Amino acid sequence: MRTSKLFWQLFPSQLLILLSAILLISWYGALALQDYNVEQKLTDLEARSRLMQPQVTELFLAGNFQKLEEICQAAGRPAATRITVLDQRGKVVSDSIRDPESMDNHRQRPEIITALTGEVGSSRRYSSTTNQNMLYVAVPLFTDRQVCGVLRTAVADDVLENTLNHLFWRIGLGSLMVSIMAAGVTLLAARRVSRPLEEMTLGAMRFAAGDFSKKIVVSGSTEVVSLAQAMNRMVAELDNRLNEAENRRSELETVVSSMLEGVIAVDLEAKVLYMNGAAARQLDVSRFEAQGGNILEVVRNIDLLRFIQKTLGLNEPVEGTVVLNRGREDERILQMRGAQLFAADKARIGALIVCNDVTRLLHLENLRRDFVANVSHELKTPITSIKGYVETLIPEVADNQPHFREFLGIILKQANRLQAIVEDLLTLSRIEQESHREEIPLAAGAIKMVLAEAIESCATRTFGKMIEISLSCPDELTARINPPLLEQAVNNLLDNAIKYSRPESTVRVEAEATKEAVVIRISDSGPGIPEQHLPRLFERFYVIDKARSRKMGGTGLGLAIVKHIVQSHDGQVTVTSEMGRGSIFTIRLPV
Amino acid sequence: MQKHLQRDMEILKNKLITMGGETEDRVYKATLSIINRDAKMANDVINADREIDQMEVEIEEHCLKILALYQPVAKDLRLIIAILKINNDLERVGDLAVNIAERGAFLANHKEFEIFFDIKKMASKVESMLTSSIDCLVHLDVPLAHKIRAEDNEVDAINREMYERAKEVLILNPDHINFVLHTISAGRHLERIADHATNIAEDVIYLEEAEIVRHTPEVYES
Repeated sequence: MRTSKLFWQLFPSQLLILLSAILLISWYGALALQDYNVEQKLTDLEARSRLMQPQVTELFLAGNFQKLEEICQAAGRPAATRITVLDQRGKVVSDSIRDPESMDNHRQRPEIITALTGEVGSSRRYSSTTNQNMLYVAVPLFTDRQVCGVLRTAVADDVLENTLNHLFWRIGLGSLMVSIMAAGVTLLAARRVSRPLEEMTLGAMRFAAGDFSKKIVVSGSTEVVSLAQAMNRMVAELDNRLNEAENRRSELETVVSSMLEGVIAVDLEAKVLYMNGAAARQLDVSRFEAQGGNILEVVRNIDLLRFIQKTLGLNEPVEGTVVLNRGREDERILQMRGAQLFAADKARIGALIVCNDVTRLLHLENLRRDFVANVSHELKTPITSIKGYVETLIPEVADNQPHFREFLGIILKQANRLQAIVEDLLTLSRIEQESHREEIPLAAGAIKMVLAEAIESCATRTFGKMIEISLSCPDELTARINPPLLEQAVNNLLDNAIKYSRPESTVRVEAEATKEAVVIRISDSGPGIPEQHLPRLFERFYVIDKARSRKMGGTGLGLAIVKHIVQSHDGQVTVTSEMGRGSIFTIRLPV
Repeated sequence: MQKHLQRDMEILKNKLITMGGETEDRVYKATLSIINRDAKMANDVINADREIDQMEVEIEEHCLKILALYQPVAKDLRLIIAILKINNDLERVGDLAVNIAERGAFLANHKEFEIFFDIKKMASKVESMLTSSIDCLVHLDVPLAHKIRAEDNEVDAINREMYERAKEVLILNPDHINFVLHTISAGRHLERIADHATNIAEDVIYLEEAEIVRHTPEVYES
């Protein structure tokens, strides 16, 4: 938009008003003056005519035109008045300026027409005789109340015109002076209005630049001052809000930057919105270089890239592991959790990623796993030889030394127990290792066959207690399983069920397919498990009643093995129990 | 218009970086499958080649779209041309990774043979060259590009050494010929990957300095 200064907005209208007022007044004045002037002159001319009338009438009637001419010239010349005498037919008989013979008939002149009717006629027009504007007054000459001729007097009108021209010049000059004065006054007035506005503009620009320290001080009209006050109030409020926001931001910044976990926020195009110090350290990048750059360009790691793309593409929290500097000595493993970021209006604006350096943790975990496997393996050999020697000794013991036999029996029993524990530990660590390396092959297989085989291998243990095992499973039920492992899991669960069931009861094995999982349920009618033990039941070596468990010959690892097997199938194992009624172990395998 | 072009170029660059990352990953896994004699990993690489091919097609289409829509000039045009060529290089690297993985699948069934040259050193050199070449594309880092050209000589040296060793092995155990051929093939593929990485670096030099250095051997201090 084209803008102009306040002066240029005010000045033209002011000038227009002033000038039109001057013009209107001077036009009206000039008109009045002219009317008055003409009136005066006409009266004057009539008076002069009246003065000359008797003498002219006399000479005219006497027919002394020679004398008449002389008188006309004598009277007219000094008074700058043209005197003409005409007869009643309009023929000029005498003129003070020209030879009457050379003049045409004047009968049609307006003033003559009036005069011939006996009235005084007057006219203002251009005269071809004198070549200028003239005022004419014609007075009728009477004989015996009859018009017999006309005496016409005329003066030049240009005196008046000159006067008016002069007057217009003055008015023009005056208008110019008034215009200049008006400009000056308007300039002053505009200044008075615009000065405070300019100051406020400067103040507002200062505010915009972030300097809230100086207030706007202006003097001027009430409106301007109250506008300035309103602006000052607005700025004070703004300052408060900004400070508040700044404080909150720095608080948040402090909290996030002192977190041990790395925090990265990216927008929808994977540009880094924020990265805290921990994240920069973990990813080994400069925080300041990363800011605003695309995370793909900043970090250049395929795992991270896939993780971020997954987080941006999904609508739920994502977990994953990212390996940095893979295969090198400074290999680093980061565990990441990603969530979508939403703006206040629920629009998705990016993703938030929290990362944890788990390199050391995984390293320790590996060490532990290797340690358990190695120790178990190392223990196996000595136990086998102890067992061997004890078994060799027992038949050799003399009958008169019953204590020896009893003690050797205890040694053998404990060695067997130790062997069972070591075997279980080895199984456990093997499953753990294989599932960690994702080496457990899973294939679609029939569930019923696995369950039937597990039941068959437990059959020998049921005889002593007269326990019946019932199986209900649809023939066509299949799932992605590793049959030997699943059989072992079911076996372990059945083993427990048989151990803790009352004699002559039934252990039920049921399997069915639901919408999202294949469910295998093993329920016994044992004494039940107190509720406080349920959450920790699947931990290694967790036993409810140490003495009893040992008597039953448990290693404390059976359920841990079940848990690991089911986990390697991407499934879940849970337990519910009711005191006095029995327990139900449930395995859920994904379809 | 300019803004749209910049946006499209940004997307294109991201796609190329993603593809770079994916190929790096393939090469890493392929060489690892040879070093660890891991048949499963080798098969993973062999089966995943379609993804890289898909990406190549996508990037090429994107380049053509930008060329048709915006008729870019000067630097933008050079970037598009460079991306088209690098795209090709990366796709070839992806194929080579598959070839190496196929060797890996074979060698995994012959764990009794020792690999007769330092494939670990060669692989890590080649991988670092590939990573650096994509890095120098991302940051338009010309000095790094020159460094990659220098590194190529080292890989060539290892490659020559590999042939010498292969001859020695064959003279001692002529019946190992099958195994030796597979190993040599893997080494050759690694060397080709290094060449592609060098190509990418040279394209980056062209992109930044508008000077084609491809066939002008440079003397590097090593």
